[in-house]
Amino acid sequence: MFDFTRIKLVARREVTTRFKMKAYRITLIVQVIVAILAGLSPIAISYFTGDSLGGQVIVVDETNSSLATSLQGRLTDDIPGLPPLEVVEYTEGADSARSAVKDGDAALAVILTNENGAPNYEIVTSNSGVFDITAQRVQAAIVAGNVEVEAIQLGVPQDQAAGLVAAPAITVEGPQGETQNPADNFSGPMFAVVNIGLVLIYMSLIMYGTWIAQGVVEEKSSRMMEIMVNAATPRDLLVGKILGVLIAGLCQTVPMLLAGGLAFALQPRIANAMGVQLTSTFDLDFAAISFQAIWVFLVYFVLGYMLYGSLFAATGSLVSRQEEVNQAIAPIMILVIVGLMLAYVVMALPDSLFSRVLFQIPFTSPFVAMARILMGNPGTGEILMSIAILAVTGLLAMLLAGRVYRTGVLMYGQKPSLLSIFRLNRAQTVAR
Amino acid sequence: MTLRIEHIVKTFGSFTAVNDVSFDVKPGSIFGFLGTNGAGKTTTMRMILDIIRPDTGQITWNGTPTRDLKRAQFGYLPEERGLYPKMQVEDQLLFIGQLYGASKQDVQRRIDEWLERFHVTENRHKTVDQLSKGNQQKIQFLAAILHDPEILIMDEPYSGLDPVNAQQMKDAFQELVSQGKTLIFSTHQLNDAQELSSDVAIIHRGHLLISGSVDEVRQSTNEHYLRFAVAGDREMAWLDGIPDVHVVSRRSDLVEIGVPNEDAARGILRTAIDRDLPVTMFEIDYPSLNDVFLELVRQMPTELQPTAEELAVPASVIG
Repeated sequence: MFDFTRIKLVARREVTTRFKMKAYRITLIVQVIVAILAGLSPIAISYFTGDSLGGQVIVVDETNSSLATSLQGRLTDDIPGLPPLEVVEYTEGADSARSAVKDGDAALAVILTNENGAPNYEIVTSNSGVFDITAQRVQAAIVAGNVEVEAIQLGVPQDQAAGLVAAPAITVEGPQGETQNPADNFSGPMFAVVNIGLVLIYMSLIMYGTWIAQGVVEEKSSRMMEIMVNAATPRDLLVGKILGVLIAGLCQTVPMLLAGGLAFALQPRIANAMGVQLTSTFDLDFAAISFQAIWVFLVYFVLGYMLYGSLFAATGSLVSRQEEVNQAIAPIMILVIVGLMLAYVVMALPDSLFSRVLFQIPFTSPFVAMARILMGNPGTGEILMSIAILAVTGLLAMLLAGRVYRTGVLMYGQKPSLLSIFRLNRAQTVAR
Repeated sequence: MTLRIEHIVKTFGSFTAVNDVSFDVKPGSIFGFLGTNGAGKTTTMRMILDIIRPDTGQITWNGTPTRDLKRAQFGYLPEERGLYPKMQVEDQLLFIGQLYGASKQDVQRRIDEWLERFHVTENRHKTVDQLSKGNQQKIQFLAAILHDPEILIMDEPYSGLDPVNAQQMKDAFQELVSQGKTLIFSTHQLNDAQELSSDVAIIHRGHLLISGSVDEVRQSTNEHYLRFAVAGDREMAWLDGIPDVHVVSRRSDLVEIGVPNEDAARGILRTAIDRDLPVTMFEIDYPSLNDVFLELVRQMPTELQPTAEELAVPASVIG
């Protein structure tokens, strides 16, 4: 069905031609630099955000309740991904506490006063952002503490009052009867890994897909195609081109990933050397890039690329000039963008029926697979079916694209509709 | 070992590009495939190459359908020239030669020989867009032959070539044929074919008008051509009064006259001498291929007469 010698030749030409292009080399350098900067961005973020995520909470208690102790107990617990807070009882008065926060000596101040017999909590923060996580944590702790205090005043025994605000134990039973802890599938590092994989797949499809389409049009517009289709079958040319672009693309993407990953891995040392305290939010656990994450990424990347690459090639063969390429590939671009958007829905609801359906549709499965498999709980059968559907569709797309390609590449000037291409094909007017 | 084209028909939608065309090409010969722009030459050549397939009819080489032959047996110079503009000449030729299935060493050896022969060795490492148009054509020609094919299909090989380069190309054709290759070339310059080929086929609007050896075709109209000139009388209006004789064209230097036989031609000479006109040219010949073509289409119904566009504008892709 395929002539691998010819496929190799076409692919090799594609790779060497790209290597010789100035734009290719410049893009490679820019990508590596951006990746290194992105990898080191936690240092910059930590440097500029300072200790706004952690630090000292000072408590001014004018009612002589046990607020400081209560907050102490609730805020010093380790929360994954967030730095611990230090709670200190402050005795120099409310105004002095406000100044301390303003001067940056404390992250936040809580001032408790008694107004007409009811407790009044004032939170003073130096951070005016809506998402002031420290303020939110302190608010939650105050609410919990307040419930406990009120309960005790209503006569609830102290040990039972504590139980009123304690987080209950929750277990979830999955479709296969297994017990799950909902938090297990949604760790920060895993979220980051799925996101990186998704962005990589999205970027690669858009970038390499455009290369494929432009390459086909270049061969058409330079009339090289007529010699090529005489020397080799359109199918071999198509597969060779898709493969060559993939290799050339990976030669750009892999150095970028390595550079970014290396910069990220080395940043504790770099931060140390710069004297910057890294916030624990960025303490990404590389163990999250598990074997499962890697194979899911690779399988869906390769199969998705095969499917979309064929579509890009076939579309490229339908137009004759570079100016028409963008317009022609726009529908495929929309498919890719929709795939990306849907992946975020799947991340939020990885086990929903919606996610399960998207996981089986070949045009969306390359995007949603990482979220569905790594964050949800699909069965083995479901995963195998998704892979099989994508692989078969990819192969069909390749064969179909080969037919469109061999008709399209010899049509100049005319604007062939898909219908006319299929009609020509059905009439077996085009050879091989 | 004959390339046999039998009753091929090819339609594109409602347009019939090739309509029941048959002819034979002898192995080891140069075959001229002639016709105006859009006559169906390129479509027929693409069908020989199995780039597209005929709706009906078949094309065989030594009894085997050409679709079953190895790609490497064909060399193809498309009418629409095409090479990768930013790729170096040598890399490009190596790529195409190997794509046809030849070994790298063989292609490399032939590249060295032919670049030398065409005096373009210094262009080896230039990109194609740095070459002159003539040199691009030569490289394109090399791309068609470096894998050592048996059958060469050349679509309008001379278009755009200056006389020096055209002669180099013709010499190369002769040499390839002397090595036993079969060469089919198309042209709308019928006189090119008369000079170079042993056999021809003339096609018009998808219909085959005539095929055979150049001599057979030239003698097919049963007419002789007289090229005749006298000093001081360019128009020779008196010729119009002679029965069985018609003036084909009045040129600035001579008049071409169609005559039924040699006696009629001698009659004209006698008339001129009787009129005391100084004869400066008297040459009896068969009609040229161009004349035969014009004569054959003149006999066709009006709707099939060639338009100015067909005679001048480059062929569309279907042509």
